[in-house]
Amino acid sequence: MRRFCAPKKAKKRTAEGANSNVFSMFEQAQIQEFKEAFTIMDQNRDALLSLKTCNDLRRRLNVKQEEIDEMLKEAPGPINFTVFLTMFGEKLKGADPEETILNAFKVFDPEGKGVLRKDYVTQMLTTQADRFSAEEMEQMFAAFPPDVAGNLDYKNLVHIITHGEEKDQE
Amino acid sequence: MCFLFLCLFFAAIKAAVLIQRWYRRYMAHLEMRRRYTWNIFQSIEYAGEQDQLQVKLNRHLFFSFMLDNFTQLNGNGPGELLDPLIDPWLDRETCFDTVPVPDSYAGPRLSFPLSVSDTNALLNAFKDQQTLHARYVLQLLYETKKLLRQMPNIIHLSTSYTKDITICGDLHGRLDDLLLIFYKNGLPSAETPYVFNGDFVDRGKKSIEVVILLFAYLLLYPDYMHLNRGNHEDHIMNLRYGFTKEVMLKYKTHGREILQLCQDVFSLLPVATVIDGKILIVHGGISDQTDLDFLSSIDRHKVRAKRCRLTRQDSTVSSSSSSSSSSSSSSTLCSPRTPSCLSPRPYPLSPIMPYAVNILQVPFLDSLSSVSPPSLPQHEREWKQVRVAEIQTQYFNFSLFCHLTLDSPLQQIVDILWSDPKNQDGCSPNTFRGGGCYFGPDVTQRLLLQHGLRLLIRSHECKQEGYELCHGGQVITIFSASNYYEEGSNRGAYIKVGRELVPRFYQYQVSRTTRKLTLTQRVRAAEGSALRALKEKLFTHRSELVSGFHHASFPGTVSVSEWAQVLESVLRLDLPWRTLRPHLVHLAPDGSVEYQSCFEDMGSGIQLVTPNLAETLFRYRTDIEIIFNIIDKDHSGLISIEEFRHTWRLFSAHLGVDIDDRAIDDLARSIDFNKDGSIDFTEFLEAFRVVVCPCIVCMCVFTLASCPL
Repeated sequence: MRRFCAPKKAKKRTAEGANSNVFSMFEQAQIQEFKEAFTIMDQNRDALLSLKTCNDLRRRLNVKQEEIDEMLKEAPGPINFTVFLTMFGEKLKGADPEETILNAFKVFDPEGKGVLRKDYVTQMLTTQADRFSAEEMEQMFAAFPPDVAGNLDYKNLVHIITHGEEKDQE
Repeated sequence: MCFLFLCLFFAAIKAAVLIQRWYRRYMAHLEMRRRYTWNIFQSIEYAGEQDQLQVKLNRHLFFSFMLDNFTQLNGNGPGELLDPLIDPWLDRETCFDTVPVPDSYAGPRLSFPLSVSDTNALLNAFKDQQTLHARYVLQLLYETKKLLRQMPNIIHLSTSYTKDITICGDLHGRLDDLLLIFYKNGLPSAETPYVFNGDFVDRGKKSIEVVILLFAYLLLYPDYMHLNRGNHEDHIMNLRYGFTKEVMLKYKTHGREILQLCQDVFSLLPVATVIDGKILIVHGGISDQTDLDFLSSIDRHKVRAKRCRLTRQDSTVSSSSSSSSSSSSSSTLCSPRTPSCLSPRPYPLSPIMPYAVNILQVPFLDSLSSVSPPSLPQHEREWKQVRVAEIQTQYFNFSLFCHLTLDSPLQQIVDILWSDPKNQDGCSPNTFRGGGCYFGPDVTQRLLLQHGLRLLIRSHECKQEGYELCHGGQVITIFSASNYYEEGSNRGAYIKVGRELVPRFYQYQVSRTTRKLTLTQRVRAAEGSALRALKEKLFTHRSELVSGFHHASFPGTVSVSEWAQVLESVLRLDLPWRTLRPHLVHLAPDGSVEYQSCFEDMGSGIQLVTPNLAETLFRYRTDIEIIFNIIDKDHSGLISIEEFRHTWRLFSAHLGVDIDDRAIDDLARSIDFNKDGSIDFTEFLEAFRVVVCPCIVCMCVFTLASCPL
């Protein structure tokens, strides 16, 4: 924690463009939380994230390789906090309220049955927008298995995740 | 119509994006939770070692003293404990022949020299949860001791005579992991040679079974089975971390004998192994002082922590330091390297200034006599007085002790067994552990070059994947106890290395539940356990924390930032406090922290005692448990109130714990639940655990016994 550079220094170091404004995109409290997240990921405590960790995070959050490459051009090598914030800040922040996510699912369930067919969910999430990989899909179904008829109770899924998340973010 | 369709189309995409992003964020957070859970376990494990040097040494000396005197009082006879001139380890020949094995005993009956049928019998017996009879344990240990005496300090192996050599790290009493390794990799044999890199015992519940198997294979295949000593192969560590207790519970009558033999065997274990002159294997690490040639030359079994000694003749104390024959079984390698020890060439112990001690005034002699059996013969009593005075001297001169440098052999071994690698260059004292040092890549490089080595393999630190490389690949940490902190916390691993000397890694994880847990469930379970340990830690520092909160900017309210700062300054665990905040404490409607709420959820015992006392008891819970175990000679789980009070008074006096006698008396009376003068200390300890926090939903059952504290 003591190793983090103050925002001013960070601005000096990075090139102009999105990076230098990244600290103004978030509230102070949020930045502090991100600092903690960064420290958690920084296993050897040298204020830098290894590329491996970065790739893990990138895959999890689905940040495109091109975006990473773009940022890495300005700050090559292991990732410091500013770059981390730029790359992942937006993706990590925020907690969508339960309602919002439920409504998102309901778009695919206009009849309001509360369940969706597993195949349909797969199609919906792996073929459009920020596509899920087959692995991600498998992981989701492993954690939240559909019933024997192949139906996914999305209300339950949303409830569990949101309330698990609430614990983290209150 | 087309427009409507387009609207729906975009709505679908938007919804999909929302869901995808939300789910990915959840997975990223899950990963963070997994990591900070890990950080919590590690911080707490190492923080336990972080007590001030003074307290540590005091504690070690106190327990050595306790062990000595209670062993004596146990009627084991004066023996070597009263006569410091005989080197005890030479003379502990046990009469295992006189230990009768009843016909009803259905376990393995070993015949020496061991054969494969014996080791197979042991494997099967242990898989069936059987216990090996004490007679065979003693005989096995005795034979192992005879064998190890002939071995050098550093074992040299060659891949030209054997196939791939398998190297395993810490096992810590996890029999399941050892059996899994044997299952996956094969039993030790000419085709499958093994090196086990220390820390076979403590923490896990099957330490004695693990060592029995390892020693049995050592006896069976001395050319293909190699054991390095770890820092836990030491009796003070065993007292603190569970091996002693396990043995005493399983082997009531012969427990002490078994433990004493184990200590002898441990002190005889080689400290290093070298493969093909290229790969060095030690348990902890190295330091900038490490000298392998010197290490080869010392008498490893004679290396012990120094004690200043009294001469019997005069009543004035003069001390002489003798490096070899130290006075008792209770010496240990736990001597820490002091920060003031910076000289490149340490010199022998400097003598302590003589001072007169009036033996009759030794304060706790009275207390001792109240727990001892009635009349000891004159010479024994004198010795006890002298021994007691010896301890008194050390306590009195404690500050001098701090500035004494360790002598060279001890320092070399402590470094090998306790050091950890760090990323920055240089070599600094390992304050985390209180022993050994942190060694940087330059230290590694220098040593490897100096001895023509290519690689250092060590253990000593738990790693999530079971292994980890550092120092540009010149150092490998290998750790073989999976689920070390908690179910699902980490994998175990072992290394195989062949003639090309390129290490290959094999990972595994023992699973105790038949139902496969999802990642979320595993993270939740481990997290719950870690948070409980953390809350207990908070509780042990309650008064400091509360006083810190009172000094925050506005009285009565504490912001999240301030709360986090106070926690870090008091506990110094370097944890992500803001992220952990929701699990530890509530927020008031105005967003400030209700800091008292983190001290809820404590066990029922808290109600019985004053807050101060509760906090102290929490902090010293491990020590209290050790005291209990030493006093409770017959392992009934009960000790008398008198014994408890006396011992606690001794302990608190010598560690400077500020708690008054009356509070202890009150406590003793209130925990004597059935008013019969005895304390069931299992109940007592349970009363001081954190109860399961109802707000964490745990999806699987796990035992509190795996709590790192």
